[in-house]
Amino acid sequence: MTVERHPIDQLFKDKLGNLEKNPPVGLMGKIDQQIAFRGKVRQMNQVKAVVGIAAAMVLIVMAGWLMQDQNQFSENKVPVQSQKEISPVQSSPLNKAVITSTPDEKLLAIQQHQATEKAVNRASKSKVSVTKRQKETTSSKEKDLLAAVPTGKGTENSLPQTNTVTKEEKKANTASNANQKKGEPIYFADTFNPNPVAKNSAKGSWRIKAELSPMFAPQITGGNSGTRSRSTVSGGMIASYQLNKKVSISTGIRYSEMKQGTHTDYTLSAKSGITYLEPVEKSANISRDVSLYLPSVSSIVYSNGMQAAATNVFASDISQDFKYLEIPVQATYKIVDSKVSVGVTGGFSTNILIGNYASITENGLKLSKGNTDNMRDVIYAGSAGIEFGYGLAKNLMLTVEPRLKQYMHSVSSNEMINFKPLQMGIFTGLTFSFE
Amino acid sequence: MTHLEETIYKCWEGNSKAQTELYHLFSRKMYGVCLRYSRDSADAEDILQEGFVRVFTKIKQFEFKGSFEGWMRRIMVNTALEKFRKHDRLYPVEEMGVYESTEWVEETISSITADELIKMIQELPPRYRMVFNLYAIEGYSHMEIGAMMNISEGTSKSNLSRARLILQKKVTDNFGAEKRIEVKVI
Repeated sequence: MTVERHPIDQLFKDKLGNLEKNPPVGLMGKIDQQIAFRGKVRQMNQVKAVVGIAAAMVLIVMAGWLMQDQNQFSENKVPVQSQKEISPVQSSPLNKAVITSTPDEKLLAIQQHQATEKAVNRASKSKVSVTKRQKETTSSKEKDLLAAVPTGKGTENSLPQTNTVTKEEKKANTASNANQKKGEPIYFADTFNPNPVAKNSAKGSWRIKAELSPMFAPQITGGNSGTRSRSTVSGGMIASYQLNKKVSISTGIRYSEMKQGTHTDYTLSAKSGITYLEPVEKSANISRDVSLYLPSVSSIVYSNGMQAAATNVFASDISQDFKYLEIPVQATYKIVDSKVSVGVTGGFSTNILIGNYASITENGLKLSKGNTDNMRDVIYAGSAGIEFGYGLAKNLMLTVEPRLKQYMHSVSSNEMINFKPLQMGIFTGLTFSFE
Repeated sequence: MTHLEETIYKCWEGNSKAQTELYHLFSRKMYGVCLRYSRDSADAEDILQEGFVRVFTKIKQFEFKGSFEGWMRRIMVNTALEKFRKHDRLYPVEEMGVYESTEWVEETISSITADELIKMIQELPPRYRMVFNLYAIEGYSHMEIGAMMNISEGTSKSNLSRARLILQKKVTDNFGAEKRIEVKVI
């Protein structure tokens, strides 16, 4: 059974179903150019991704290296042992030098060993006076150390050292020991730190920061010339953890916005006998289909209840507003760390779309509101900035950070729209340290 | 392997000669499709260009099931639909007015050229043009059209009905009618 076709359908199907027309000359050239351009864009995106991953890896490696470096530094400071607990094999520079050092170092070590023995003998002779001093001290470590300290010259900077002395330190000692008077005791004591914990107090501390910034974006390129970005605000709470003196990592939650407006003046044309009306009550459906850029309206026949004259110029404004919840992960490297601090920051953020609003206003009359089609629910962005800090109090710091934020892929899932906004903000924040 | 299949495989490798050959083979037919879905020839050119870029960049997705021409035609139609979604859907229109339904004599129908019909279709409001093309010429059902255009089946039927009325009036005005059989007030 065949279904009878409507005569109009039949007419157009018969005449246009297999229509063939010569396309404009030179179109294939344009197609070639576009394919080549897209290939380059794809390559650039791949390069950007690789560079981004490489930068992230460099950051991680740097953070790891600095952490390790810091740990080694701490290890060198802490284990100062009592002379009483050190075995002759452990404590003797002579033994170590015989095993590990060059001939020059061996000679030096022998001299130092002899000097050390003399000093130890003197120390045992003057044990009574040392005992008195022990009573005056409160630190048990210091007591242990003082037990081996001679009472003569050089006692302030010269203490017996354990087996943690490095070759570099030995060389440094060589230079300083050359200035010692003959017969004076020489010790490896340059790394003695009476209070090792206080020097690394920044490591492991938590900080919390509240920050706020106006956000600016350059004019959108590649879209309609009447489209302008509007300034917005961004702010949130960030928690950071100090990995070591220089590096901290942070995360938190931030609210951010993106706004743009499109304005176009256009002339309407009216076909005789046919007029069209856009009903305001259907606005919810209409605005759901708002695209990122203003559509071309030159061919739209519109009357808004009246028949429009061909010479009428209408003004149309589309406002689009997107709200995001941002979860950043970033690292900060401090270049200057004093009352005024300077650091560089960099990282990535996950942006979750939480608001999508659009409205259309024509000749000052708001016709409809709804949302923009094809917006991605989650997009990623990279950010970089320079953080300036000023210590207001012991645990409170004021920070100002100019920061750039680049979205890493288009905010729209529509293939024909490639819009990756760049935003700039100057974040002002208050940081509280839990130390 | 046919010559067309060979050309398609060469296009897989990005062979520009094969791409040019494929373009010359199908561009006339595809331009005819694009003209129906566009508001003017410049718009049709844009759709054709974007459509061919997609054909060449996604040609590996063609699995040699069904005709290549049909696959290409679907890409052109989808490109036109995407352009419509991006540009024209913002201002859907409803017509107000009185239209007359008529029947024509055979001579009237045969004297109408394809160019004249294309012009009539191009003058339709964008959504009507899309629905009419998809239903009357491509043969999609209202359910399929609703899914493709994100509209209800009822809206698709209503748009088709209105598109037919507008086209009917244009044909009548331009080529004369033998008799009036119905008057509809919308």
